Amino acid sequence: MISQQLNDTITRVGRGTPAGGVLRCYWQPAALAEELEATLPVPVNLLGERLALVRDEAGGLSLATRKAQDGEPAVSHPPADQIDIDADGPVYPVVLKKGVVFAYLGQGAAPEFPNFDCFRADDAHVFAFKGLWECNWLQALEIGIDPAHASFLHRFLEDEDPADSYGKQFRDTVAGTEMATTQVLRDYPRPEIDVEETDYGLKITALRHMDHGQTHVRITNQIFPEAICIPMSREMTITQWHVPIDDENCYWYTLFTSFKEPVDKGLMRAQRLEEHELPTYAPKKNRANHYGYDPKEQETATYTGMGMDINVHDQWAVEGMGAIQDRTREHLGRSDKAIIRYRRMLREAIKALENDDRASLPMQDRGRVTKIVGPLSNDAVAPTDDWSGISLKADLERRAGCPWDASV
Amino acid sequence: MEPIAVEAVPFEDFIDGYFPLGQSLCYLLDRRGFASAWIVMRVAPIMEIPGLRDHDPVPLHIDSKYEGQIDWLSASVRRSGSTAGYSGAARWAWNEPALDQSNVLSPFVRLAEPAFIRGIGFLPGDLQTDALGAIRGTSRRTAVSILMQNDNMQGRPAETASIIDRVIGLHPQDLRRLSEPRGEKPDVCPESLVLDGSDPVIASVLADEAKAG
Repeated sequence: MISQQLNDTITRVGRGTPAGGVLRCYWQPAALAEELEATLPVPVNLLGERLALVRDEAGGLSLATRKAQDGEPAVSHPPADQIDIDADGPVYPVVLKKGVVFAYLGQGAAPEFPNFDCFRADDAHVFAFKGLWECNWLQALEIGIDPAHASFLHRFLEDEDPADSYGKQFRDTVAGTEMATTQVLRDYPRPEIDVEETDYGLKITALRHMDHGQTHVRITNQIFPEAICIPMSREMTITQWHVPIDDENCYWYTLFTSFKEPVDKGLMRAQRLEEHELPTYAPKKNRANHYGYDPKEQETATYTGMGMDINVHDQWAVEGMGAIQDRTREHLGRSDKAIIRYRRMLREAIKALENDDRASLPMQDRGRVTKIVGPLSNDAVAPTDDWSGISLKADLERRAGCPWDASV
Repeated sequence: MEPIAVEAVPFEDFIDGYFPLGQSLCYLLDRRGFASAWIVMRVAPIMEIPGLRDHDPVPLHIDSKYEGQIDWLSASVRRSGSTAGYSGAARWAWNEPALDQSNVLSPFVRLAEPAFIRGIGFLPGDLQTDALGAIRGTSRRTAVSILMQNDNMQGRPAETASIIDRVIGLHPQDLRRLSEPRGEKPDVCPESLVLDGSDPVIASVLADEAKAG
């Protein structure tokens, strides 16, 4: 547990705050490319700042400061004709990558992008979407780096037909088996968790030791400062940022990357638009309607009773902690290894910036960042005595069969 | 005096929060079968709640006036009854200025969160040392040696890129604020660890240890 003072240090993101300073050292998702189809300027609420995407006279895109009304809601989305640009406010550079508009709100030169799979894949193999969560970014990120929760929060009491699994997390079978991932998570709920530091953040390995000398290996990643890269199915990974709107709201931005067939973007978008409202991308299931909770469903189908979309389960869990999780009453346990390592990295980064040592932050070395590829992220079942080798082999085989250059 | 090779295990681990630090370190030694260890810790929140005794339950809530942070710690740790004693150097700060006056870290300090540490563990044996207790020497070549107390500084290996000399047991009973300039050796030389920095796990321990700031 940490005091409110220390909690503020790692959660608050406005200009001049310690965590906000760290986040501003990196490109941040600001909007989906599809939002540019609307008339510009398009409002953006990012890191506590009121902004808008505008085109300059040369036709280039940038992120300008807009004037906000007193009491304007955090996730306000005024129409273009009501946006008043503040000519004296900062203007930030933007870059369009794979369906997401990234913005750099920091000082000095923007860092290079790493060459993660989601950025290397050709456009047909990447789909971008976003959604609103009404809570602080850090608790949203931390659920993504807790490998143990999936066995409970996302427990399905029956396994769906994998043929119906497209675009859905955990519904596929584990590579090399006919076993549904949901079954593995349900039957083996106590993973052994290993965490190692990498040049991009953390590699998190969850081992579920099964019967007959077999182990389920799930490799996920924390990409500093506030993203994750996790497997979604045998063919696809999710690279997801939890981007602060302000201290009490965030957007998840996800790049779904396929290593086999081009993404069915129409289907993926339609699935997600069933659950989100435009233009704010606010989820239709939320606190006001109890996230669609159905006690009958909870009796027979799911741990939460909140439907089959695991994103809703996560949303409920993190929003249920409050606008900013009260960590003065928190007690971390042995399965919180990745959270403990991540907070150490974040505190070290904050200290480094205090000491004017930005270069020591992950992925700030311009000469090395572009060489960062991957990361490895998959589910596999392997003999317990060679889980590492088999997991790597499965990943490399997927890359070898990939129609775009996914070599590492 | 030549360094004595010892059976040592470089490691990474987590120590429990919320209990007195000595207890958390004792659990670490027990869990890994170590007689003692040299550990490095960075940016770990700490707390000291007045009146909270060693055997009292874990606090349910923390107030910022009882909180601080260890920015860096390098210490030798050895069993002491049902707890562990630790000595070495550290940098820390308390939120409450009144707590921040002492040059010695309180023996009642608790971690406010579990902490990730790197270190080198020493197996139980017959080689008597001051800082690390009775540890296991070996006749084989290892990445870790100990240079016993040496009043006249003779026998200390020259520090090179791969041979790192770390003085331990500077302060027999407690953690002191880091005050000695990095690399400076005291006149009266307690024991030192002589480490082969080309070992990758030892290198990561040393990399953490180098971030004293």
